[in-house]
Amino acid sequence: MTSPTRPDPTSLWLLPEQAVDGFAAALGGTRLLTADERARLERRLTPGARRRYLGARLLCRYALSARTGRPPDRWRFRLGEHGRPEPEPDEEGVRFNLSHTEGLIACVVTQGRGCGVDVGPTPSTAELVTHLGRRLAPAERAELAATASGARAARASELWVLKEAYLKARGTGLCRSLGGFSFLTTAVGRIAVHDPEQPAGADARWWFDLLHPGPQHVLAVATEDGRPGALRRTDLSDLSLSDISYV
Amino acid sequence: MSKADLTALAAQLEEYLGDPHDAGSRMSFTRVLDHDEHEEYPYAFVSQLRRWGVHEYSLPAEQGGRAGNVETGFNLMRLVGRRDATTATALVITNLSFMPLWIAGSDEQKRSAVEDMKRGGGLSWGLSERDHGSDLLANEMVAEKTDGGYLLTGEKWLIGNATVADTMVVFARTGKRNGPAAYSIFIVDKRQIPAITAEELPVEKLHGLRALDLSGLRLKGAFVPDSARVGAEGQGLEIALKSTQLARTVISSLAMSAVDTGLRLTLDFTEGRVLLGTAVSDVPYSRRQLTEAFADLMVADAVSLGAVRSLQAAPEQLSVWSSVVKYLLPTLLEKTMSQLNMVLGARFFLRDHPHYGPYQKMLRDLLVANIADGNTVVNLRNLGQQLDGLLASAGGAAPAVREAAAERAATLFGMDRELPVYEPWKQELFSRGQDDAMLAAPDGLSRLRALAEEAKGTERDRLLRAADEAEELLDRVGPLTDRAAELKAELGREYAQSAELFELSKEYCLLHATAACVLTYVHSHGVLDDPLPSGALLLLQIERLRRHLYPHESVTDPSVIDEVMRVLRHLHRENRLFSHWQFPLAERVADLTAARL
Repeated sequence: MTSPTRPDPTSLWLLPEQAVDGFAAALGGTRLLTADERARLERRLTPGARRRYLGARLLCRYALSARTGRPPDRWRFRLGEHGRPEPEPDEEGVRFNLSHTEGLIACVVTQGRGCGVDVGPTPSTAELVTHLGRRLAPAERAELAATASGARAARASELWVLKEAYLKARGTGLCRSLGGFSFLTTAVGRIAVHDPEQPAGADARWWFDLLHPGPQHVLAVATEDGRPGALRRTDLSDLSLSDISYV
Repeated sequence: MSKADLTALAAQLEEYLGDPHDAGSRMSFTRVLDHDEHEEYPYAFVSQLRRWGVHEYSLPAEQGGRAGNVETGFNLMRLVGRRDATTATALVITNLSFMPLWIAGSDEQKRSAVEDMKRGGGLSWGLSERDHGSDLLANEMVAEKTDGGYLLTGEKWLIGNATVADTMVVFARTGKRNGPAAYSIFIVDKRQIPAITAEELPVEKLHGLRALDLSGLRLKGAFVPDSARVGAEGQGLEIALKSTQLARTVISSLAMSAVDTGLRLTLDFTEGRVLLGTAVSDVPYSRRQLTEAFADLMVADAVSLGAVRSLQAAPEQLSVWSSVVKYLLPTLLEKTMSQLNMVLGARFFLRDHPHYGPYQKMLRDLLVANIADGNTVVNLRNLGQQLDGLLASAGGAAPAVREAAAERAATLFGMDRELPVYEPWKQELFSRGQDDAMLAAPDGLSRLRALAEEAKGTERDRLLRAADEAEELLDRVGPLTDRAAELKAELGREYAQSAELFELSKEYCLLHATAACVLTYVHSHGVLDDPLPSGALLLLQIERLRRHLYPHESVTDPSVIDEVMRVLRHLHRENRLFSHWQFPLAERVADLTAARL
């Protein structure tokens, strides 16, 4: 094609937990996993935790293969400084990040740009609202306090996934205090971060998308040098039932 | 004919035919089903449609018809077909049987046939034979030269209208040695030949179109004068193949009409039935099924828009357009209808349900679009033979070639653009790698992105996403070309007959359809009536095509489905054809109590 393609979309892949078994069966079960990953899988205590771990390991291979064309059985990973997995070898220069919660697994992929994703339940439990309330930045605490009580738990969930997604994109994980940086929504509806640890101007490079993929989930994606409309979401269904609508 | 004029004409025909659910209307479902159950040819329906003159819109104006654009007759037939595919087929066959004359007949032959048809005469097209199916070069009917004419001997079988029509146009062998130049075409007026030399074959019992006359004719030394030969001796194969191209292009209207009625009936049910306080239409799973069926129909509408217009705007490429539409639409819409079956539930299985009874007939009738006038295999083989050239130009055409294609695409997919006059003799049997849909696709994507930039909010996002997804699909030209080359290297001479080549051709059809959806949007968006155009619908159309390649992936979220449902509901409530044309349908006057049963 000769038309200009919009550069480097941010790909977000979603796999419902209920579709993991079929998805895994279609991809050969645990065949694609390394021995270490298989061992980690076995250490998961509950069937749900095992299902989500397996789904996440397979989803990232599927998503990375879709982006690069590298076969799904050729992905290996190394852990970064704070335990963030990166492709090894890094032939195509892609970055990715995974998140899962009960019911949903998410994977984000970019071409070399920092990216993080976090998915969580919504609305938050009362305990989480209280817990978060103590750890947020002052401006966020004020915002949460000013939010109508009926909407407060949902807003708490949004702030939580935004913070997680940002930290995961930065590669620091939860090593930092959540109150050390803050989120605000600008007058034009853009979600912006204020992070005093970053050099001047660096905050503006971060783009955040906040999604509600279902009534019980909220999800945030943080991307470096992102832009509006760049997020390309693909929902996966159970591969083994892929033709069910035609039956 | 402008979009406004065509819409007005369609509205007149709809008003004439009336609400099909009204038992007192001219073409009621009650009577349609009665004909089907009793396998009785629908003489009365055919007669009243002829009185209205519907068939004249597919006959040349120069010789007394009213045809301007092929799409006029094509779309009128959709309105007949949404009530009864059998009647539509009976009428279409007469018009298609005229094609050999239109392509190669003398002025006198055309004039006389048109006059006859205007007086109620029917035509049939005697092409296929019992033992040879689609293999025209094996046909056995012979035409022996004699003084002043020919003596025809042989049998034509599975011919629509063969018994009810007085005249059959036949394809018969005139050459001594077999080959492409061994065949000619003759007009056999059954009223003029000695009675003892002709005999109709029994009408076949059918799965669908049960009231159709699908029979045959046996000739034994039947004399026809030299003036009955159409075109030159030896020209028969070329004329027959060109005639078939038109048939392939327009026959998908039957499948589209069947699904239009299928979807309309299903919505009558889902909009009225409440489960646990929610209309079935609003149950998320049902809503997705309904909107996907609608999107499929709109894919078919976009592909056929370009294909039917290509008869006039790109006749030299018709071998590609006609085969794409003939393979893709029937196979796609059969699946769509199966999907609707599940939404309608057990009602789809009932033959005499007072409201949903027509559904099972549509389900059977639409299958004819797959087998008639060149089946799926024939069309995929035709594309396979041209695939190397098509892929080479789709992937690497010179900018000037693309520019010219983009200019033609504006006519091919611009519903309000003037079309050149239909000149069927300009049709060619090979397109030499030209497929304007594919060549103009990059221009279409640029235009789509420009339109997206002008749009706001979610509409902008949806159009940009649709452009991205369409581009990703269209980029498969590269890998498709590589696979074709690898396959050729591996299989050598077996390549042309390989099963894999058929699969590559299928994928090419999906890419062509993707381009057609984008091009319809960018070249017709300005003339579409509210609630179209819709970025959500375009995205869902692309997703439906994408599903053939990535069956487990979805690129639409519930908000897209909700928006497409809004569009679909509007068309259903306002009683419009499910099409970019949105023709206003006959007012629904019948009591809908039966829809709640």
